[in-house]
Amino acid sequence: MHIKLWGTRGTIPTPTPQTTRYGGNTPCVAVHAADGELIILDAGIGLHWLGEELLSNGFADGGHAHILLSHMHWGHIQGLPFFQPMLVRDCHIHLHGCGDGSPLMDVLHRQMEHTYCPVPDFFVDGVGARLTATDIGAAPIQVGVTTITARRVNHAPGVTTFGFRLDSCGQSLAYIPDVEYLEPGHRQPALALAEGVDLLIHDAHHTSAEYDGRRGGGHCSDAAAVELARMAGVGKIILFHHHPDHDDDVIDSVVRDHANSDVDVEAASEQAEYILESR
Amino acid sequence: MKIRFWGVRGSFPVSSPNVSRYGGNTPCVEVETGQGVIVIDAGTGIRGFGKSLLERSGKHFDLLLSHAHWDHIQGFPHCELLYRDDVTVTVHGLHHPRRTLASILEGQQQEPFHPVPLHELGASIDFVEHEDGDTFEIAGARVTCRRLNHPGVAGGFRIEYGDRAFAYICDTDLNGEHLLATDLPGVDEPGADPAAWLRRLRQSACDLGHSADLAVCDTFFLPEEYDPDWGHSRVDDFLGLAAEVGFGTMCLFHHRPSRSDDELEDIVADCRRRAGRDIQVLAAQEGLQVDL
Repeated sequence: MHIKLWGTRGTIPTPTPQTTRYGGNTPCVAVHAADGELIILDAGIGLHWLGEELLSNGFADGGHAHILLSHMHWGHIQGLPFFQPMLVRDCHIHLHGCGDGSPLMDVLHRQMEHTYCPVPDFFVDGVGARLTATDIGAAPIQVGVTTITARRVNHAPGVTTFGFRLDSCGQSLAYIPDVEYLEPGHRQPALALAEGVDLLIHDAHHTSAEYDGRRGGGHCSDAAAVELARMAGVGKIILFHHHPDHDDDVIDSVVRDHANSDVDVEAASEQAEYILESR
Repeated sequence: MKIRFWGVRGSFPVSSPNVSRYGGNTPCVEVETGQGVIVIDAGTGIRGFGKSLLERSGKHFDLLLSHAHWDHIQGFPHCELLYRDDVTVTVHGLHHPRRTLASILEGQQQEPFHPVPLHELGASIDFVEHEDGDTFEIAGARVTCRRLNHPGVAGGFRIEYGDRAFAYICDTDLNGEHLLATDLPGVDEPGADPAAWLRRLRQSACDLGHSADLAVCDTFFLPEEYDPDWGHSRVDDFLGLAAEVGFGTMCLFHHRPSRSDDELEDIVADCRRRAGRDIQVLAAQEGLQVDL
């Protein structure tokens, strides 16, 4: 499994010189499985730049991808109108997510409303790529050799998000970008997803020092993220969904706090790549 | 008047080291008169503006929205100032025949897209809708708004304070041959002449920019990049307008996402060579302040 981070920032893009090392694009992670299937986790602004790379590598000629959406907050879908393969006729994009009572396509279509968005509406038949969509249910999703498991985890009051686990040829990745553990029961679905994975990409929106004042807002501290990783016995945790007010120096100091931890801790850095070898 | 640039990038925010000098935040320009604060557009740059006004203990601003495309409103729900109940904001925009201005911003903060609905923001927010050509007074300044040629309902502004004039002419395809603006009076009726509307919208840009001390210009495209369906201009279109109506300073703005700092510097140098001797040229840069 080849993993590349295209967007690591939470909530809103932070295009400032102070955040260039860890990155200012909202969440998007590309996973290329051993069989060549492309699975994209979330559609933040980072998706635009992934699209540019795909098109420069021949994706326009029949390329296909699966995009899994953890939830519908802007930071996780705002890259879709600017994902160029959406406008390429020979591409096929399969969307997975949940419209919570409305069909997924209908919810995503609202982003393309002409008042807000001048990009040609690729949700209309005959415009751009072939689009298909599946509402995420309880059953695992099979994409080639990769099995994807989705579980709902606690987020903002009254809102859950999906976390995902990808198992492929003995390699495993868990992606839990937006989560807060307020009650002991909140950890159960996250532990099920992260259990023994090689790599865990996890919400660490707040520093531990800030967390008490922001409890209940829907996000974790780095300490809660690392604790979850320890409980799940993961190989490595990548702290993700950086707070828009955290510059590179703040994130450096968060990582330093875990230098002597028994868990391998890194902070998500845009363009970082991870290769999980087949076992 | 003090003009401050908080967001200068077009289409979507760009977080990349090769744009960090000019900046990657989407449009937001502050105009501080001696009597108040006016903000044009609520791209992601408005986060920085909000923090700054908070530091200055400001409690009110007037927000002029050129139009409702995402890059011009996406910062609104993330402006911290709006979460304070001692703050008041008046939002101005062009009248849209099928959507109220309030409903456009409410739509952005609806479930499942944003966790806090518009009416739960602490600040008290008023909405004022203007017709094409309206003139009104805010922050002691005289503001004129005019429709421009961009997909949907979009416009620009001229702000006059004392003996100084500032123009914001973005987003528009100044010399485009495709009428992209919608909902213009009579345009859908039989016998309507799109070419006549194109001339009128170009004249609007001329009127907004006439003798402006500083004109913020839509210079999204280089000539070889031009796409007639996007509703953006080429650098050359505005070099022409600057000479035609006499800008003091032409300010390149709404930089294309792929436009690097180095490229932009070359474009500015080229414009300086080609602009008339009386016209200064600069490219909008995040953090730049211009005193008029």
